[in-house]
Amino acid sequence: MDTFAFFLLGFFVVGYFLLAGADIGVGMLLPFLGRDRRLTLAAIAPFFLGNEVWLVAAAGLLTALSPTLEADLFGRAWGALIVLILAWILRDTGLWLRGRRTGRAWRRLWDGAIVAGSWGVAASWGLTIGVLMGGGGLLFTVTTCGLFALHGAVFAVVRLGTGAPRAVARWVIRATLLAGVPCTVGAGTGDLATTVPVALSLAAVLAVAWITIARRDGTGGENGAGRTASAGGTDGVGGTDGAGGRAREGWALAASALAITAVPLLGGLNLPHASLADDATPTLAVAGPLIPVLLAAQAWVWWTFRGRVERPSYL
Amino acid sequence: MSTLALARSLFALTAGTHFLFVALTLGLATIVAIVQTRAVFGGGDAHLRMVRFWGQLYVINYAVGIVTGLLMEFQFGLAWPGLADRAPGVFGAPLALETLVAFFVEATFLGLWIFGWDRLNRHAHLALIWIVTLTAYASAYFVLVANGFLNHPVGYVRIGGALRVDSTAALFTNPAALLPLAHVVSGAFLTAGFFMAGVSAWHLLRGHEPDLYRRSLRIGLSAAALAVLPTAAFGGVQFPYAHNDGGVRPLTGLSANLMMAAWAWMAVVALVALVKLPFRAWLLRGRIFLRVLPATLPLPYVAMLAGWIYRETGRQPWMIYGVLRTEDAVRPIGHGAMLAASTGVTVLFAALVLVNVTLLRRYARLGPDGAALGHAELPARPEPVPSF
Repeated sequence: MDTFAFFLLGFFVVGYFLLAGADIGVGMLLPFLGRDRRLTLAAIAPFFLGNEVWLVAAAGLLTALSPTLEADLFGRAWGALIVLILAWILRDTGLWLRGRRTGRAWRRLWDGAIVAGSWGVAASWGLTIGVLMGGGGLLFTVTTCGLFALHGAVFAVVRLGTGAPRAVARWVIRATLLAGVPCTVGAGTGDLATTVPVALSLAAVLAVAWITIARRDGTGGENGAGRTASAGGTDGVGGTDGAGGRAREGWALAASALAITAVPLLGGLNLPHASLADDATPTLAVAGPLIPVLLAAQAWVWWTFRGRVERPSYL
Repeated sequence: MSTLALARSLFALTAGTHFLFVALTLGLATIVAIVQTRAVFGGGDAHLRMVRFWGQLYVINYAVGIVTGLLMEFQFGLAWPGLADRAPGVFGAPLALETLVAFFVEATFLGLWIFGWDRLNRHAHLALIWIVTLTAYASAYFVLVANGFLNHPVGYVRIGGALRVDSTAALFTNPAALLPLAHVVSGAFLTAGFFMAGVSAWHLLRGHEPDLYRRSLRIGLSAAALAVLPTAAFGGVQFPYAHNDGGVRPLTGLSANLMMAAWAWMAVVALVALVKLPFRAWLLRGRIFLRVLPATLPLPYVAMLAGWIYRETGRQPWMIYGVLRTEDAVRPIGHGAMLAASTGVTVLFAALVLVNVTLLRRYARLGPDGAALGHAELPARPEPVPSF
């Protein structure tokens, strides 16, 4: 029972990082992923609503299942969590409003809100987990920003198929390997037995991401350029639309997803021992059977939008 | 202001903003779902255009609902830890179920509805808006179970200092949750009905698309006429659960009067609508009536907000009535921190609400041709934005 309750909490938190990590990362890198930002936003548009609710669900479950853990978490990381919420609101506001008018100043304003809000969310996760790790908040912020950006860049590669996100992804992998991994160790010096294995695994996963994304596909370049030209873009330099190229992109996405789980993993490993609420049964009885339904809904979204972005969407 | 006062005003601001926008969401989603059903089964082009027009306004409105809803969810942990600490099962369970059963499903499927417009077959697309609508009701229900417990705690036992669930059935069939649900749902139809009627009348006065706006006007007025009496009736039967300890406070009393005055005005307009509805030509010819309708549009909002203030201020100084005092539930955080958080949220929400109301106005005036929702082909011309 206790195990199931904490499994549920972990499930929604990890799900949040896997899913929302990608759209937050795209928001962070919005100015760099392509000339037509509406196309870049169309990459995440159908996903971001269904992604962010994973964290909402985790927060709701936390209230019902373990108020002691909630009190501890919100008590210690209060400031970071307030920043998280404010940045999240700013980012969502930008996403919802940007496309509703055409003026240049209007779009710039909300572009700024999306980028600043996305960085704010990624950074405040670093602060939050850093507080749990014992005060290495600022150092771990480097890691989380890198991991969110990486996941976003790879997701943009998969969705857009253009050269710009590929170049950005290569750059971000290098930065995360060089800066993010040492910062992880630095943030968790209080418990090196936990931190070092996680940091080493992270380095290995990043290396896999590097191998899958760094190889240029000679034949796919032309396809990619042709496809993006038809969509109105001009930055298709290294796109890969061949079957092998897409498979490699899939592996790269798996690697960036695995890499970002380091964030909730380190958070979870540094949580205090918490007890379960006494009357958690009704919540667990409803939440358990609901999981397949929620997963099916998520799968439907991914299946519907499995193809490349072809044109701007509603955002 | 003290930390407690700041935390309370932060909550009031978040919940009040959230409530105003979800009221329209609840009613308008239902009407959009009904019109889309008609469009799929035998309706014509006019119905499809209506779905896109009213759907567009619904989605713009929804953005405020969801953004404020995010903060609502976290606010209990951030500012009111006493609540979950004392009553995790009784208060936490309905909130957890709200996030899982309602918020989660609603957001995922709304995303599919908005962005899958031209990708899904029309029956699947129709099913989506119905799921979104039903989960919106589920959301209102669970939130009111939690709120109803605060006003009228039932189904619990005290063990030591904590409250435990004694009867799940009593908790989830609390009359102080079910009656407000009926009251709020009727109020939501009143809001959406007068919203549709007001916008349609504005266009009809200017001679825009008479067919589309005549249909919309009739739908809006019918919804308002159907909802006006149940709203008052379900409001009236709740009075036994209203609290006025230590005499009626000025704000509480003022809110009650304001709510009833707004309702009286809406009842008169709904009555006139009821008389005029069977006569198609008379309904469109009445210029005075068509001018009254846009002026009536804000009144359901006034009534909604006033009713909510009446309900929530009447309970004070209790958080859970007779069990937990508000001052004992608030997080003992530094005054400066709470002030910074409140200021940040207030600025963000003020901007969001202002911009959104402006957008609603703009898109309401643009008509169906201005709706971006459901447009398969947006211009592919790149924006003149520099890339780095």
